Amino acid sequence: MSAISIRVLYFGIVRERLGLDDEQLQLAADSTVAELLAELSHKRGLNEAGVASLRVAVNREYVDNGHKLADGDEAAIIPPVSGGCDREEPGRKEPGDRETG
Amino acid sequence: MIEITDTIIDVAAVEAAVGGPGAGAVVTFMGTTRDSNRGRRVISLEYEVYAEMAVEQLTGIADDIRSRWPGSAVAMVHRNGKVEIGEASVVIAVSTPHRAEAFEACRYAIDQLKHVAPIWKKETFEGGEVWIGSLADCDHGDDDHGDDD
Repeated sequence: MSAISIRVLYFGIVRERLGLDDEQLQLAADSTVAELLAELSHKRGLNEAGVASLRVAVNREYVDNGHKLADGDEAAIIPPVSGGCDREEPGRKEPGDRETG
Repeated sequence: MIEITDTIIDVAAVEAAVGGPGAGAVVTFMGTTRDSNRGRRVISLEYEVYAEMAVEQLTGIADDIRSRWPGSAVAMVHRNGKVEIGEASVVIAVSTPHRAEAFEACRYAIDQLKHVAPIWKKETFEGGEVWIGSLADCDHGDDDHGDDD
């Protein structure tokens, strides 16, 4: 089984809590975003406690948890963005996370 | 014009970027930093931006607007780093042939930006600091929290 190497980026409250801007991570081939999050939970204690919700962007596009990662991918852990919790709902489209259900 | 900047935003330049002979209306939205939030006295605000992705996301919003409102033009500039009270953290200008669409499209632009742009805001207030959107912020007791995903 071959491994893949991805770059993980941290921002905002997550970056501050982990004390880390980014890191290179080895994962099994065909790992999904869910598996990446599980690995980060195990290795870094990353979870949603105190964060409200996390999204993941791979190569600068929002993806769902079933998205498969590839060697050389850039995966960003995205805590709630600056719209914060008091924004109004604009009848927006979801950022790419409802395609596969 | 889609930009992330560390310096004061030139509003006139953002508006000029959407001007043209087809424009019958220009609506500009300017988000400014205020000195209080949820009863806290705010001392300063600091933005953090995943710049490459932010520019791509804002470009996507602008493309979306141009296809939804034919004949429109969009310019968006957002600050990065420390922003003083009273300064603009974001400026969006939209031009369309007629005014109703300009208001609609500008509202759409800021709402989308707030939802998808990878931009984070840390508020320093008297007695502490908080990342906007975190549980420490949203569980502050106001009735408008909890609409996150």
